[in-house]
Amino acid sequence: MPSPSVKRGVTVLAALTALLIACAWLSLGVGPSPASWSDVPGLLTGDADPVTRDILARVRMPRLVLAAVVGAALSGAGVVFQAVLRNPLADPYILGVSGGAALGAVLFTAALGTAAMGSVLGRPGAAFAGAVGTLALLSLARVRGRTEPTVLLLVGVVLNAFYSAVILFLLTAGDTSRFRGALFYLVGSVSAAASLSWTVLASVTALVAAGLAVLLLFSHRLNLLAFGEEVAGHLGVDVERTVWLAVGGASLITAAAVAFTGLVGFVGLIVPHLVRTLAGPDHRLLLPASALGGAAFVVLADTAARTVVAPGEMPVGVITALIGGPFFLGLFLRRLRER
Amino acid sequence: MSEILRFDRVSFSYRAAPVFEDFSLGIEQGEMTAVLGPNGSGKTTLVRLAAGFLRPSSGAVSLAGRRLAEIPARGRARIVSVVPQESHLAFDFTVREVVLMGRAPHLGLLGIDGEDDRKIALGAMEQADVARLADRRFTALSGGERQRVVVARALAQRPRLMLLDEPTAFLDLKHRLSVYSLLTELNREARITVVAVSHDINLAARHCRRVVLLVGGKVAADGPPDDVLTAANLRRVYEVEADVRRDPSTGRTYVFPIRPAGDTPP
Amino acid sequence: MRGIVLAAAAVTLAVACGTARVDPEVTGDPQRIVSMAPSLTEILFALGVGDRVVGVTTYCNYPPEARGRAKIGGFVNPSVEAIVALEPDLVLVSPAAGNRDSALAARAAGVRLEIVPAETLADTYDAIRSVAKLCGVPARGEVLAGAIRERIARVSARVAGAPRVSALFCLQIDPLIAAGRGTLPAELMELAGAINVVEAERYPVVGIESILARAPEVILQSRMDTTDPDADAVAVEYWNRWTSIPAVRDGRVFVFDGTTSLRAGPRVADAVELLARSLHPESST
Repeated sequence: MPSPSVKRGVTVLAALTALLIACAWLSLGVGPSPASWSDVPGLLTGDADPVTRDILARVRMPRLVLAAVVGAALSGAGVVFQAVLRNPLADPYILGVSGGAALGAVLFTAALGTAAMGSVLGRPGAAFAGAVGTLALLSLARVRGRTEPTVLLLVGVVLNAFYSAVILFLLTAGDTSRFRGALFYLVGSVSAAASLSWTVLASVTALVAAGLAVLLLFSHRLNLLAFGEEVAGHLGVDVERTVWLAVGGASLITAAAVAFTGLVGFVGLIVPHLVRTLAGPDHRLLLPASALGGAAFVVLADTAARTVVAPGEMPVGVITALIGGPFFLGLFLRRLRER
Repeated sequence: MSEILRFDRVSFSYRAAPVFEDFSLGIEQGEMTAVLGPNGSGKTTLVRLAAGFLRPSSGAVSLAGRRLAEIPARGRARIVSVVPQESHLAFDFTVREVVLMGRAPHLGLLGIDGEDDRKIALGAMEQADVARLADRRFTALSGGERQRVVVARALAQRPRLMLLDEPTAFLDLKHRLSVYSLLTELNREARITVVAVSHDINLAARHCRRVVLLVGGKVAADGPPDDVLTAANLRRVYEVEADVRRDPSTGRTYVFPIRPAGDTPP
Repeated sequence: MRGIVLAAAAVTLAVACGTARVDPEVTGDPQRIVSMAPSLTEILFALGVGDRVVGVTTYCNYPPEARGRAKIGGFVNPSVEAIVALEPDLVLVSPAAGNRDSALAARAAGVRLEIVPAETLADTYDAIRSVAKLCGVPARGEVLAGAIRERIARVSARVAGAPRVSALFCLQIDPLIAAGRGTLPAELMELAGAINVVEAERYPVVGIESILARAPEVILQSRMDTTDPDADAVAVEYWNRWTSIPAVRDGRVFVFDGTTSLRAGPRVADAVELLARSLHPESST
């Protein structure tokens, strides 16, 4: 007999899944061109004209998938980082993993110039390498076999500052035209999806899904970390192993996401908060719920990003920041008043 | 009768400050022991070493005959539970969820609790008198209520040994008495070994059959309360002049602190 | 009270002297000219006063002789020190994002600064005339401007009969940046017989979906990196993915050196002729 909390959890997940499907449906049918849901049947039978086919199947669909994957990855990672650092203000970028990814991407562009644009997987590969390299640097935060969240945070802040300096240097000293793309990357954009093959998209989706599944296995231990590492240890948690596996897993899915889309901001920060008010602090529910909520959020944001200023396009990071900033402030103020 | 906890020539220091040097102590299964002593005597460090959170630099701590370092975290948590001095919770878990965390060492990977676990948790909440707070947020409770919830969590772990670090620090009179009564009952009925670090000399003396008096990381006295809590020991360890009497209702030693030793009487 | 009036007078006098224009008729034509824009550099050489140019930006790559001149930095972030060190008697600047501070700093350092906008086609004619006048060769300016105007008019007449071709002028593909309304490439494109598929202003970052929907018949891709031989292939490869675009389907994606279309200089006529050949091959001789 499932406990009432399990029943509630299933309801929450079902509702968020429905939300994601609704947002995906919206995203498929809305865009700067007239292509719409009514064209989808034609797509399946092969009757659709080539332009509509290109728009629906090779622009909107890939973007939908990438946006959902990135939203899920960043939100899931955000939940994990907030738990491990016991800090509700933590986001997936706080430890510098994203800075490493950004640096990898910018260095790649700087080194290869125009050829960089020709290599579809080159920049993501370099970004991923940068993120993984940062994880290695973060391990320096282990002091005498113990990792304190404060120390981890400090190392992350220092890394972020260093990365920012190098990136800004490269951007200002180099050929500005080359780096307009880098700027889009730093703000976060899903537009790269249109250039990716379905093999690549499927691989990223699989990687992020697998990562989230592994993190789900740690979700109960993340609950126990809420009292601090000492108490978690008293309750039988191997704290060091849990922290590093969780941080590692969350960093990898963050890296996989930002490798392609750049640093889409606020998703990893506000989605866990929003979902926590709905689903509660139990990470066994919070993690999958945040992944679903985050996916829906970024899908919606990207729909706006590519439609609102048509024929122009905004980086999705602008939308998430515009929504995320005030929303977070509102949420924060409300909690303050509650106490 | 076997030893459930043993400190064997343990040395430990925080950075440069040594706390224990060549320290030995044994706790038999079924005992109810109070660890008393002034601040800085090493009481909290003792609990943390016994819980396995700290590692001795030399010597060994053993749990039920096995070296603590060799017992994996989960196994250790099934034997010993800890009630720390303070609890800071980063997220809005309810009391029920907190107490259920105590079942963690007995649960599977995803920590999915079953009917039995929920019953045990409920029982623990009732014993600690927090059952009516079950759906309240832990962070919204008073210090005393929180402490009782943590006791419930430690109970839910169904340990063989309970380590408590000043369990009555924030409690009101009624709950101070009831926590110690509960501990005494658990010790007698469920045969749980209790080691309680305390500043509450009299309450500890009333309920515990053994008192270990610590000062400067060394055992100043160890034995039944009557033998340990003498005016001379209190003067030496706590640096107070105290009046030691026998409580007529319980027959136990009762301490009246009068003034710090060395002060001239008024 | 008297002190304040005197001080105010002194300050006013100093400011007046500092900003006073040096009259070329009085001191002679400038002999040491620094150009802060590639378009202005081309104009100077086209007017035959290239030997008087002592300083150019790192982007001033035409004509070849210009490359040999001392560099004063980039188009967006030129070096004031480098400019002043060349001891120029005339510095020409075309207002653009980023070079305002450097230009004003140079002026404050005492050099003679003349602002010559060179953004649109109309600017081109005005710029040619202004620069010619500043250099003391006004007649040559008239001739050059007139010749350019005539060549463009001939092209326009040639393509006038043919239906307008929808076209996209693309500056770069990552992100996708196109020339919109009000830009020089758009103007030249229209004179060469095209309709710009991008109606937005200036140089927007466009979504590929919008391009697909507008279905341009010709894609004019500006070569992004003139030093990299592989750059063309990268661009063509990118467009070839989108087979539903008429331009791609019909093989009408042209990668070319975009500098002639992007510089409001003497080669705009070359640009219009080049664009017309791509847009209306049947009308070109």
